[in-house]
Amino acid sequence: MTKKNVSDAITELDSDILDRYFLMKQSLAERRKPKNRAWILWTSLAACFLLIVGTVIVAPMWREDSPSVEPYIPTGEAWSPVISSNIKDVVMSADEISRAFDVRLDTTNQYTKMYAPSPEYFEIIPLPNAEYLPFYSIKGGAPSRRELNEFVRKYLDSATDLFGISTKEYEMREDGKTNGDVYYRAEVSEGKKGIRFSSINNYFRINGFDLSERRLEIKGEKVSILESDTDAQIREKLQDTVAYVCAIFDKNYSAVKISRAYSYKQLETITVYLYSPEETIFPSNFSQAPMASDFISLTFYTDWGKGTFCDWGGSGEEAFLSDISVYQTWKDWDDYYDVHAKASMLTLKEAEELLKKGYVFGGHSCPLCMAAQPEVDFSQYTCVDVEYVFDATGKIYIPFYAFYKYIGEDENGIGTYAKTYVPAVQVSGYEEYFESQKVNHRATYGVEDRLDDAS
Amino acid sequence: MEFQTKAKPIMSDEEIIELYWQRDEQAIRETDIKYKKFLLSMANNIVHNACDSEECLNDTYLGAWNSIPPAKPILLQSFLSAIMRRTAINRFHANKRQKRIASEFTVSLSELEDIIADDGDMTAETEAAELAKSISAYVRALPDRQMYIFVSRFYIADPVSRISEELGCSVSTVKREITAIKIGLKKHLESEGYVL
Repeated sequence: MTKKNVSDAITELDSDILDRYFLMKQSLAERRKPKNRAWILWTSLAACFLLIVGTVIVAPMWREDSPSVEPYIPTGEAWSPVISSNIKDVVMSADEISRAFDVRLDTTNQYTKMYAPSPEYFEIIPLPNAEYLPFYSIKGGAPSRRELNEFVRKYLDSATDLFGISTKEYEMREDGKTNGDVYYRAEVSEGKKGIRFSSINNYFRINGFDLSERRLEIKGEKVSILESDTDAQIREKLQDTVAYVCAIFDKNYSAVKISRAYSYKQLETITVYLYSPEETIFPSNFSQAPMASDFISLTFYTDWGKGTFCDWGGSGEEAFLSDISVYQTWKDWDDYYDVHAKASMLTLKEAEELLKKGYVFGGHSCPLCMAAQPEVDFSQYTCVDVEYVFDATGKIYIPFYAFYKYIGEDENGIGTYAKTYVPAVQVSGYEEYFESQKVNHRATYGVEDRLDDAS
Repeated sequence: MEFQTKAKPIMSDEEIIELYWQRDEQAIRETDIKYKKFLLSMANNIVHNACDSEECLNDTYLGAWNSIPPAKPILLQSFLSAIMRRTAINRFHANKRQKRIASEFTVSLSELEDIIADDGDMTAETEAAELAKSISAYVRALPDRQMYIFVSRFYIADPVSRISEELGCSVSTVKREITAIKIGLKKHLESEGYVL
């Protein structure tokens, strides 16, 4: 008998035991009262010291192999944000900045793993040419029931035609509340096919789906492309589909952009965006930043839902059209998003200094957790981008330098990259934040156990 | 394109399961709102990597979507944790082939070394199923507190500190209980004819 045999057997524990466990867990949670945790903090401080020593000694012995790769320099023009003169200048603290990555309770890492055959798939654009970078915030608001109803009536015939649904009856209901805003959605369904009209951020969205196979039909036929198709081949194959979809929704989109998403195993989705380039705020990089214009997305899944558990997707050569989404702004960008502050932009050199010091987010901060991840040397990084990330409230966009480092090829040939973030603007209180983070994280993550186990 | 998640009132398990039965994709979103934190923590105990944990989370949601219906779980959290455990352990073993993982699961596995000799893999599926039944019978007969500690430590792979906090006792008490549980399990398995 092996540990794995026992572990596998425990995995198959009868469900009545798990039910009993979770009922007890709920009951314990209700009874639990706040406790004085001061002793944990003191223990943690001592543990912190020991771990730093341990990490310094052990870390150099256990580094992720960093195969050399040519730096990737994106082509295109640098973008310059538009900031009006009355926008106030702020210096956020590292603590405030860290809210873009909520690491208070979860384990932290030095980096996030990304997968792509080459850096160009990350859709990196040249760094901004700016003295200041804006913080975007969301003003909020949601379309009223009447506004959504008008939108549904406008596109109901087109949508039902496109998705091959004969009924025109739809049901409208509340879709939730956020910050006092009530969201609605309307649905048309026929058998396992359906269309959902809803709103998300500053967009109305029409989303067609087929739950029986998850493969949509256009004019009675399934649409597919091959994983191995080049962008040019995909454009050619989808010419009729694109023209048909645009015509149905009365859109005159001149640009087609193709974006691929990879997992550690394989290509998972290919998304084809149809849009007007002259209307977007970030013309060449809208996978990482919101667009201001209307657009349509056609998403092809390699083999969605075929497997269960760890077998997400498959590796079918053929990718089928499984989602069509039509996005239409219900509020202009300027009415929905606001530049509420600006901060002095860090030069790349300054950001590299922070990277060198380990002042990274998204995010390392606890040496214990970092020890669970082979360390990556970012000194010779592969590429860098400026990326906006929502803070934890989902209301403010914060700019970060995102550094990518190639760390090797997966067994199936997909490149693996480490990605880590450094604020792209002037920020105060790095040292205080990272020191406090060590203590806080240790108190919540049970470091004393690990020390006991290690000893 | 990533969009923000909207905060909403939390649904009951029954309501969420009803959404799964209606094949309403809102079911996934409601599951995410209610159980994301617990599931991520569970995945993280096992795989100890934020990115892998996220992927396990997605796989768990897909597993739930594919299983309900026909399944109609009584406790959704229990049902999801079973899927997550399998998913995360698969990922753990895949990762382990490439590198050492210092996860809470590694530690809880090493605790089992006390009671097993690790001398040869049981290959027959029937034997594995029998072992699962035997362990279930043992855990079912444990008092509530010991059952709670066993599942927390060896199924969820929670740190001892978290278990002690949840039970309102000291870390050393939980460790003593774990030792007693392991000795009991060893005796139980030996009485069932397993060679340890």
